[in-house]
Order: sequence, then C-alpha cells, then structure tokens
Amino acid sequence: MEVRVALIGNPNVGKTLIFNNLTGGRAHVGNWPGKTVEKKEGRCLHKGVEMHIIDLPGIYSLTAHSIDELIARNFIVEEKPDVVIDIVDASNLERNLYLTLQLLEIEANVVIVLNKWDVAKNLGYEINAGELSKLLEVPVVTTIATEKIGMEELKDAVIEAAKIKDGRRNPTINYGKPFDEIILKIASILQKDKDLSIKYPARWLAIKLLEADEEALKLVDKSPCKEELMRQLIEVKEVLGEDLETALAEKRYLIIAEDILPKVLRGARSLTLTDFLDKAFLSKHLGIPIFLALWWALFRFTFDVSAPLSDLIEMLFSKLGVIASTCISNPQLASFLADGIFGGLGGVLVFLPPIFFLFLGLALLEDSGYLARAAFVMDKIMYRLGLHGRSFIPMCIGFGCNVPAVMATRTIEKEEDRILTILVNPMMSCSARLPIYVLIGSAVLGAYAAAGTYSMYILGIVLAVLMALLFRKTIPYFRGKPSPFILELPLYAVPTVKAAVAHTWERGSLFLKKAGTIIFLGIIAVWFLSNYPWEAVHQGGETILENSYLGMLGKFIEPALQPLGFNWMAAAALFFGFIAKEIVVGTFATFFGLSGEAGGELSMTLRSAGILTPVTGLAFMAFTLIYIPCIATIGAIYRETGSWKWTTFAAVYGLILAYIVALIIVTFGRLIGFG
Amino acid sequence: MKQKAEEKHIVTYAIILGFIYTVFGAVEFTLGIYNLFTPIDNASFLGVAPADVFGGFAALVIGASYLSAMSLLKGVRESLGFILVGMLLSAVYGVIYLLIVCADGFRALLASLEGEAWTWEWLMRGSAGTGFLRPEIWLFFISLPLAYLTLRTLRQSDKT
Repeated sequence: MEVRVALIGNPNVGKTLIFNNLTGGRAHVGNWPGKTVEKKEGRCLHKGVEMHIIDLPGIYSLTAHSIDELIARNFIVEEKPDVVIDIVDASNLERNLYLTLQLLEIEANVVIVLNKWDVAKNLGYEINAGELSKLLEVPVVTTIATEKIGMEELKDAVIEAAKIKDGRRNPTINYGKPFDEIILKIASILQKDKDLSIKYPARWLAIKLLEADEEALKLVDKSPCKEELMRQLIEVKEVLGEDLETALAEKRYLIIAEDILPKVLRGARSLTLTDFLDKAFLSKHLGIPIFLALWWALFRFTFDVSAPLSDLIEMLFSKLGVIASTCISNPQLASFLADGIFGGLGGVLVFLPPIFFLFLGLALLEDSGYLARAAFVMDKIMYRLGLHGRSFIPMCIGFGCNVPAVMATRTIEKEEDRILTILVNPMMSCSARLPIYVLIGSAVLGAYAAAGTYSMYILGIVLAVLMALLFRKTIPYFRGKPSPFILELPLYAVPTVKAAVAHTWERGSLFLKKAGTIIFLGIIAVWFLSNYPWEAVHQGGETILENSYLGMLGKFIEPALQPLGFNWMAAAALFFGFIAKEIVVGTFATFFGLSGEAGGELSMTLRSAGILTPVTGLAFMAFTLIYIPCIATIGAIYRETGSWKWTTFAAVYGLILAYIVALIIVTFGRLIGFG
Repeated sequence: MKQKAEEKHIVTYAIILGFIYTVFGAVEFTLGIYNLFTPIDNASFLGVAPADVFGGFAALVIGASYLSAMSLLKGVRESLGFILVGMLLSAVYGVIYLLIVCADGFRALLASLEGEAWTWEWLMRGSAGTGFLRPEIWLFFISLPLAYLTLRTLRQSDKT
C-alpha cells in the first residue's frame, strides 16, 4: 500500500525538521513544474505502508496571492493527496489555525500536528488536543520535532487517516448569516456543472468566488453556469460590499478566537522581553517617531563619530600628494599622481569611514531584529501610498547600495508591485551619494551640513512614496492596490560583534572594490579630460580649466543647468556622476588640483570658489539624489525588469524629476531671500 | 504588593525623566527652528541645550516614550516596554554624543599635530553642540538607575 502525503504549514513551524524525521533526511529535490520554487519529496516505510511525502512551501493561507500559496493549493485541489499533514505551531495556535480552517474548507484529509509542544508548555499554555480533534473532526498528534518526539504516533495517524479517506465527512466552517446562505446558493449553482463539481469541492469554490479569487474565476470561465454565477455574485456584492475576502478572513479569525480557542486553550503566555519592546516599537503613535529618532542617531554616528578617521585618511593622501608633486620632475606625471590619483581617489576614500559606520549601524539594527519592526511600522504608510510592505526592506538596503536593493525586490510576489518598487528604489539615497552631501553640505551649509544631509534622505523617502502614488494612479499597469503584506517578526536579540563586523565588511568591501575599479578608472578619465590639451590648460604656471576637454563638456551642458544655478564645473561633475556617484567628489577634487587635499580642504576650496550658494548647494544635493541612477543600478534594473522600456523610464523620469525639484528649491530659496 | 509599589516608583521616575527630556527636546527643537531663520554661531540655551532641530526631536521622542509608561499605573504591564525603549534611546543618544565629543577631541589632536594651536574648546563646543554639557549625556547617566529598577522588576515578575 502506498500513501501520498503532503506536508503543509506556516513558515518556521518545524516543517523541514518533521520532513527529515519522517524520511530520514533522504529527499529528492527538484522544482515545481514551471516554477523556480523548490520541491522536496521523500519516502517513509511504516508498518508495511510506504508513504510518499511531498513537502509543500511554507504558507500562511491558501489565498493564491503568491506563487507558494498557489502551488500548495493547486497540489491539494488537483493532485488530491491521500493525507495532508498540517503542521501547527502549538505556541501560536491562533495564527496557525487559519490555514487549518482553509484546509478543511478545501476538503483535504487533514492530520493536525501540534508541533513545538514543549515551547507552548514553557510559555504556560495548556492545550487540549483531544478537544481540538473533536471540534475539527480530524486526528491531532502532538510532537516535539527537535527531539523526534511524537513521530511514531504521527505515522500511525497518517495510516489510519488514509484508510478512512473516502468515507470521511469534512466539518463545515460556519460563517453565520448572511454568508452561509449565499455560499449555499452559489454552491448549488456550481453543482449543476457536473465536471466542475466532481473536480472541485463546490462549497470551497463558492467561497473562493465570493473572495473574487482570480484562479477560481478562471475555473468557472468556461462553465455553462457562468452567467448565473456572475449575476449572483454581482447581487451579493451590492448587498455585502466589494471586499468580501477581508470579511471572510475576519470571520475565520473570529471562529478561531471565539469558537475554538476558548475550548482548547488554557493558561496565559507570560510576557516576554519581545512583547515589552514591541509595545513601544510597534506603537501606533510612537512607532514612526522612534524609527525616525533611531535613524537620526544612525546619522550622527555615521558622520560625526567617523570624522577623525576621515581626517586621518585625508592627512595621508595629502602627504602622498605633496611627496608626488615635489619628488617627480615631469609635470604631467606629477600632476597625474598628485591631482589624479591621490587627489581624486583620496577625495573618494576619505568617505570610507562614514560608509563603514553607516553599514555597521544598519547591521546592528538588522541583527537586533529592529529592522523588521521598522518595516512593519512603515507598512501602514506604504500601503496607503501604494507601495507594498515588503518594499520596505529593499528600500532600506537602498540606503547602502541601489544594486542589491533592486535585486532584493525579488521577494515581492506581484509583478506590478515589484516593478513599482524597482522604479522608486533609486530615490533611496545610497552610500555613494553620501560623500557628495558631506562635501557640498560642509561647503555651503556650515553648521547645518548634517541636517542638510539628513533632509536628503527624508526627501528621497518622500519622493519615492510620492512617485509610487503617482505611478499607481496614472500608469494603467500599476493600477489597483498592493497585495497584502505578511511579515514574521523575529525575536529581539543582542547583536554579536562578530556578525555585525562580518555584515559591515561584506557591504563596505563593495565600496572598496568599486573605488579600486570603476571609480579609479573614472577619476583617471576625469584627470585626463581636465588636464588636456596640456598646453591649452597649463599656461605659464596657471591652470585654465575652461580650456580642458572637461571644461568644454561642462560648458556644453551648462546652459541646460544654468536655471538651477549650476556652473560648468558642477555640470561636468554631474555628467561623470552617471558612471558612479562618488566620481562627482573626485571630479571636484581634480578640478581644484588639490593634490590629495580632499575632505575638509576640498569643501573649504569649494566654499571660497563660490561655485554654489547654500540654496544652489542644496539644489545640487537634491539633483544628485534624484537624477539618473549610476550605470551599475541601470544594469540591475534592466536585469530585474527584463525590459528596456522600464529601464529607460527609470532613467528619464529621474532626470526630469531632479530638474523640477532642484528648480523648486532654487526658486523657493530665492523667494525667501536665500539667493 | 511590593511589586506594585516598585512599579509605582518606576513610573514616577520615568515621568520625571520624560518631563526633563521633553523640556530639553522642546528647547533644542525650538532653538533649532529659530536658528534656521536667524542663524547665530553656537546658539544654545544657557550654554547647555544647543539649537538642534533633529536632536531636539529625538529628545522629544525619548520624553514621549518615558511619559507613555503612565499607562502602567492603569495596570497595562506591557507599558514597561515604553520605559525600556526610552532607556534604549537614552543610551543610544548618550553614548553617541559622548563619542562625538571624543571624536572632536581626537580631531583637535590631529589638527595640533598638523601645526594648529591646541585648544580645549571641543569639550564645550563642537559637533554635539554643547560638548559634555549636552543634556542627553547626563540624562543618560541619570537614566541608569531606572534601567536597573526596571530590569529588576522584569526579572522578579519572571520568577513569580
């Protein structure tokens, strides 16, 4: 006898462990047909019965909003396994039983496994497994998968359940009036279609149609009863409203909370440190202000605490520049080393400490478990503004680098939500823009340099949500609401130094690598363009940059940027920022031939040169934040969207928006007298 | 009973701290806004609370977090979380401002090595505004007994 068994459950309930316990860890791993989701199968022999066990993806419900949910649901409905083992986290019954109710609705032959029995006991819960079995009319087994306790009982229960599979009567989940009457009515219409009602449970399909489930609607598309069904559905929605999916979900939770848990669950879980902290971190009123306060602390840590290390690097490159210019007699080679290599690269490397400090701060927030809370807190706003809650993590990663951030959008199930997140992600101010803010901020904003930088980050977030809202409203492809967001909040933990340093190095070394390759080449190109034709630029001990190729290029672009108050030097710097944003700083350093005197010296020179005023400086910072993403990000956008249309759109809208925002800053600044 | 009394002490302590943070936060924030339009070098209130919009906002958040613990008096035990988070923010800001003052000192040392005259100015003026006098630094030290009391209460309730 062979029994086909499907394993199902919420993520992190111990499903993999139970699968390994049952199969002895021997599994055949492949993909689900046509999908990139992993499919694991194994075998188990018990009392002469061979069980073929299929591990379904970890899911919270059977709503078919994600690929994982659709795979699990289709497998149960279409493949009809003999037994479905529903693994329930005994320490979190309320959330886990939601999936159980849906499995019963789909008429699966369910065996409930109450796993993490020990954890539930430690938390003070007393669960009456017998009562749960009686209420739901399914076998219930208790297990502690980590200690392999309860596995033999589970195998016995599976075999018993398989024997009575065909004679089993599934319990009906009562939604009360008027839902039950409507479900009955739609189910009776569905039963007229013999093909459909043989293949799918009529009551389940009726519920799915009420929930406006796209897959269910496809199923009835060719049914002879389609017209009658649609008429009925329209009538129902006129009476009960459009969002029946939410109404039915609420009913299910009500059934769990009022009809099941009071009879099954005794004892109260004692409050943990996570509960205490979540009270404040997830607070309706204080959650977002706390997030902003922590973000500001991160900025002070990034800029002010790292400052002496930047000074040290600056001193080093300054000395190297002086040595190069005094020891090398060939003026072209001396200029190349002093102005090009030490000046340009030093101007960029001086920002290595703040970048590492930023990543260290982010690693501490992430490892402590706070970043997931930040995502949760921000989800309310993001959903209202048309972005998906899951977009928050790629957005946070965007503060480090937009390339991995664009790649991180893969976790967003719905294609429209994913592309929308990709399009607005470059608004998140990556670490490469940081040197520009610090340089321009300290050059023209004085004591308000840190505040100016912080405001750029806020501006980026505001623009990202505004753009998402605008695209959602105006571009037909994005119309509609983002899909619901479910996030598992991890327990808080004290971050370890080892892990935090490893994370910091992992991300920070990317900057180092970039500095050694693309930025280095970019800086050499900038040095060449700003020093040649040599004779025209270097005349009698004077350097006339306007005569350089870079000067010509800057002058060519200058008229377009003149309304923003940017001169040809700023225009040329922005032009090279397209290769990598860090090159903007390197370009300024090369322009002024600072021979490695970067950082503070460069900002002082910039200030005394009067290239930018506080207002045009702020506009320049905003422009660099918003305009065309760097080459690497453009490449990532193309790879992830697979479309030149969206890639071009991301570049073009950024440029237009940057111009508009900078113009607004300049115009408003002049109006209030900061010209 | 003893636990209730201790919780009352904790709440009273938190409310006093919350009030002080709120006052300094409001002063720093208001001065910061005022200073945006009429900039004065090293603007501060009595040489203690600097003009700092975002720093003031953060102090207001810490104050609000401590004050939110008031619901503990109504028996909402999870409200201890507001004190814990208040303390955490208090520690974060206290330590960061301390580090900033030390960083300013290190920068002054580097500048003196480069030939500039040595100065002690960084102790009272600099990136943290009013240096060691910055209220968040000493408020952090004042918060430490509250941290001890709160953690002790939590441990005791765990045992019972």
